[in-house]
Amino acid sequence: MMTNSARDDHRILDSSDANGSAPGGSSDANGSMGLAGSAGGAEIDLISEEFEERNLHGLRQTVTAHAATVLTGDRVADMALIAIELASNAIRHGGGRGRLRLWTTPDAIYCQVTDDGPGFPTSKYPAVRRPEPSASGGRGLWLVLHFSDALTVDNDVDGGATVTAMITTGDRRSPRKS
Amino acid sequence: MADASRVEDLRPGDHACLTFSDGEERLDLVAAIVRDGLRSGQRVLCVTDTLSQVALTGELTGRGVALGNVTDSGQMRVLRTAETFLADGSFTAQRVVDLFAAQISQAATDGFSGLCITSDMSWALRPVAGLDQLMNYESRLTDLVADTNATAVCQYDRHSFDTVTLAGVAAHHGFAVAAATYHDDAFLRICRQYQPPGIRVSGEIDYRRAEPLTLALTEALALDDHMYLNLAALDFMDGSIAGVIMQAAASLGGNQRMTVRCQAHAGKVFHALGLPDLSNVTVVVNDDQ
Repeated sequence: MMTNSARDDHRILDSSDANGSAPGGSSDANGSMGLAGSAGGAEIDLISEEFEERNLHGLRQTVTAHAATVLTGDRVADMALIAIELASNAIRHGGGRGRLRLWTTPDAIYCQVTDDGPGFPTSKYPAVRRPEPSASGGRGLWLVLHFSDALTVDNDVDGGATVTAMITTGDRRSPRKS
Repeated sequence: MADASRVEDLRPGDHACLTFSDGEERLDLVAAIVRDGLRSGQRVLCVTDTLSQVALTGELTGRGVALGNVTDSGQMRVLRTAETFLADGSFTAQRVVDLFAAQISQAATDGFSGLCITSDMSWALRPVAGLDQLMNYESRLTDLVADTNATAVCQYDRHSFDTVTLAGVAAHHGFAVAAATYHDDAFLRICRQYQPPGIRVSGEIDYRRAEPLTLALTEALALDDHMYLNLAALDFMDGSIAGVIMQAAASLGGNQRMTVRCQAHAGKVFHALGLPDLSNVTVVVNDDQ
């Protein structure tokens, strides 16, 4: 799953990678269509805003409020953490600022962060292996991978990176159990 | 009050002004004062206002201060405001100073090495008759305990009392006691926890505050064989901060232990990162949300 060609910096991962368990192979069909967000469907935009470091607190509050309308239980906090990790990553490594989009489809919620930084070096791709307890970093993006149901990382040809995380919401007409 | 002393610096003859930011911090400091007083052989007299006697005893016990035997033996006493400061519905400095003078003598007669008095002063936030004698009371209490085997610690909420009263009160105490603080702003407070010993973090924290947290953890790891990291009032932490805590846990010495108390989502993050799998580490998730 992490063996896409080096030239095409586009990877699709599903959560089974993060857990290091089930061999992948099915994520593209589910993941790339939805994550690309280009295939018709009933998309509803929830957030689209620029951010920098001083906005992190408010950004988390906003994402939490919107996520709580489609997710339940600890998945709301999962999405808030995902958003903050992606935004922090753009602030710290992607030029100090970025744009966050949050949107829903009938069965999922997506969080996408775009920055104008140097792009993701291959070494910075979310590690599939969990960082060791004594490791100095790498946990933020690993947690994003672990808590999302699918994740893509795209480097723009002109520089900059776009990271999109998805959490499934199931059929919202019936209450979700968890 | 800029250079507040630590609880463990209290000595007989001291009259100290303890300031705190919230109920948790107050009870932590009171637990440490009670613990030290009992250990040194003093009788401990707690005057409680916001909590009932039973609730205060429960809070202290919950922090690891054993009170069963010392309550039976009379080494530990808990009195209410209505029995002390406001015994006949109003406050009189002379009456309370006389009461404490009698308690100091009684502690000596009963064979204790001294008396440790610690009073919740929250009653002084209410419109009580005689409140104008507060400064006079504090001044006389300094004289009363000086050169005796008694210690007096008065607890003032630094966010509830107005600054003029706080400044006046502080001026009438020999010195100030407060939790050692590593960071304090509107979003985040990192301070030393005294009983059980460790660090308390409340509010929300991300990578920007990794430095004060690292310092706090480093100092606690140097001091405590069993370090308690109290995150019960921490509403958010990011992956960098979880990493700082993971690294601290990974650095524990062979005889050291670490107990982390946190909310449900932090518990989920720690679980994902493998914190509970480390030997010598216990993660306790609070479910009262």
